[in-house]
Amino acid sequence: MISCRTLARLLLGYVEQELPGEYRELVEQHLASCAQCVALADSYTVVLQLVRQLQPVPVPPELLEALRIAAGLDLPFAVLHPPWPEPC
Amino acid sequence: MERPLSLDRNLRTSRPHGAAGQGPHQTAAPAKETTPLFYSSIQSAEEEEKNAPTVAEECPGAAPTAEQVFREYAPRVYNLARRMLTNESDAEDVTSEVLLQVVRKLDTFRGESSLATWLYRITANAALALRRKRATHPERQISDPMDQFLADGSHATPVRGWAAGPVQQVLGHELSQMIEKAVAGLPALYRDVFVLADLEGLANAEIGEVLRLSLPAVKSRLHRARLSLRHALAPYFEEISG
Repeated sequence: MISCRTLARLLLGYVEQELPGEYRELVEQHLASCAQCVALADSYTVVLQLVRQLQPVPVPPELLEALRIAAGLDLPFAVLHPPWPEPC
Repeated sequence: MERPLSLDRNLRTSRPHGAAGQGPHQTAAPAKETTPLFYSSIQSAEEEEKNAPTVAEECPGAAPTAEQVFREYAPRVYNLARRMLTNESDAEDVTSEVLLQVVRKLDTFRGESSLATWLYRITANAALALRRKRATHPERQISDPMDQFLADGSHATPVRGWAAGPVQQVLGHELSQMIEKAVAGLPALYRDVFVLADLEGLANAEIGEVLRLSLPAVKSRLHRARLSLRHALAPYFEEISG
């Protein structure tokens, strides 16, 4: 049976479902008999679920305004987006 | 040369039926179509901003306008820089540098490669350059999460289960702040890959391209980042589970 350390090494491949079948079996055999590694694997996936819920921080409006001015876009909305077609 | 796109948002709510009128933007009520265009553009600017088509939706393969770059990509550039540098002021500097550079070079962009990947690459480069400039001493000794095992391969310290509760809820402000802090505390070597993979959603191959790393190096750093983050957050969740 593989050690806990080896399981930890294989965990990324296991979670990402990239492990070849034989290695996957080794991981599952180990998990069937090691509560600590089950806790490790479970919490590893919890971390992924948590970080994927993080929301992006809004760009400071004053930074965007300064950038638009610097880029020459400090024009009214209706001028920037004229109501006539411009096909691709 | 491909021409820059027009956002053309006002027209999409008032265009009469026709070949182009079959898309998802053609469901405006008749009453709305009688509203003067200029007035409607002022009234619904915020809503239109929210519902505006993305560069890819509008015209796949074409160069975006500067306004589209600001609207769609500024948040990604800013958040990547902020998380790589863990400093808002430096993140603003990088965001300015990158976006103005991109806007100046838009006419050379031919849509041959993903604009997002290109932006990530120059943002990462700018952030790494700034980090090198700021570094007065090398990063402290990086602890390897794979060292938390005994010689016989067993766990050096007990690993306990985590409470599932917080994951099933919407991430609250306090928990978000705590996770952001834990991410910021990762060694930069691991954090860069982690942010691109698990926060920005890039594929490992793209991350290798952006950071000029081999695929095994990307995977190794990503795995160590996740294990380090799990280790940093463990006390919080183990306490909850009692």
